[in-house]
Amino acid sequence: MSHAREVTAAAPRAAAPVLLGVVLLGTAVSVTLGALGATVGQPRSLPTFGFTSMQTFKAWLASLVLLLVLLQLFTALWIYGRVPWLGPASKGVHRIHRTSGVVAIALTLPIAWYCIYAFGFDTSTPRTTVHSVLGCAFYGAFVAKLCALRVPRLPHAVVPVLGGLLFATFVGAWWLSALWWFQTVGWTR
Amino acid sequence: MNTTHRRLVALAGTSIAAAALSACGSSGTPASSPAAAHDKATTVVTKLLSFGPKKLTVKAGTTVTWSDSDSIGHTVTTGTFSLGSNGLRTSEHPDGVVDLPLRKGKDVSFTFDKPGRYVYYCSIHKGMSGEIDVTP
Repeated sequence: MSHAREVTAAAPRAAAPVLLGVVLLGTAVSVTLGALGATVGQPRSLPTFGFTSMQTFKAWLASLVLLLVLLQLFTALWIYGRVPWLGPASKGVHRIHRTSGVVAIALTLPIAWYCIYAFGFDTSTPRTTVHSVLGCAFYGAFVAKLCALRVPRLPHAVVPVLGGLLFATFVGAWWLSALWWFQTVGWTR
Repeated sequence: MNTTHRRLVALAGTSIAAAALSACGSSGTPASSPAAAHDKATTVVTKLLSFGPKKLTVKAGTTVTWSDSDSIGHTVTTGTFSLGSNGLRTSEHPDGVVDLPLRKGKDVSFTFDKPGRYVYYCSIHKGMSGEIDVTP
């Protein structure tokens, strides 16, 4: 019994530096991406793959990712037992969560490349500034969550909190770019 | 070739000719239109984040065309604005004369009937603006 108490008491102490490391790693990724965007980013004309502009291409691709991100949220809530009427999540739900997450992140990479290389860390307006910060924070949260999933000593709340941060930063970045774009020029291709 | 077949071919030929003629006679001012060859003196072309020429002088009644030369989407929005110390607009007041999205292959045209100074900008890019001076 005393041994169990020792283990319980020791766990938070052991977790704190690991958690700090995870947070610092995520922050470092975000700051690096922001610095990269500020350094190499400048107006450039890149392929649009049948769309009429780079922004339209990015907006539609980001909207596709948004659907996957919503699926991520739903399956995560299911896995954590927050969708009680559906019962416990099967292995298939876990698989869908992982697969949709991988596909979503893969689809964000061209968007990120366009943002960093052809738009840069844009501070010309409050909207673009917040969008740039959220875009960088998204990948920081992603790297932190990926690490947290592989570190056994962290408190259980860390992964869902980072997942929530990942969701919030993406939705915020999408809101201030893709949705704004569609509202500005219309829902065209 | 029998009579019915010949009539069908003639009908198809007439339809194609009619469609081609109606396409030639269509007008798109002020509106977006597919990219076409334009007079350099009355055409403004975007290059990344700038309009070129930045200032264009035309006579009243001239149709000015804006064309997007690359894959960056813009708008052509007439109105007034104020600039910050960094050269970027801090406020915009569109006047509603022209406010159209400009994308590659989707040119925008407007006929300036009244003489005057027309300032326009891209509402997406805060450092991008131009001017059309219309003389009598």
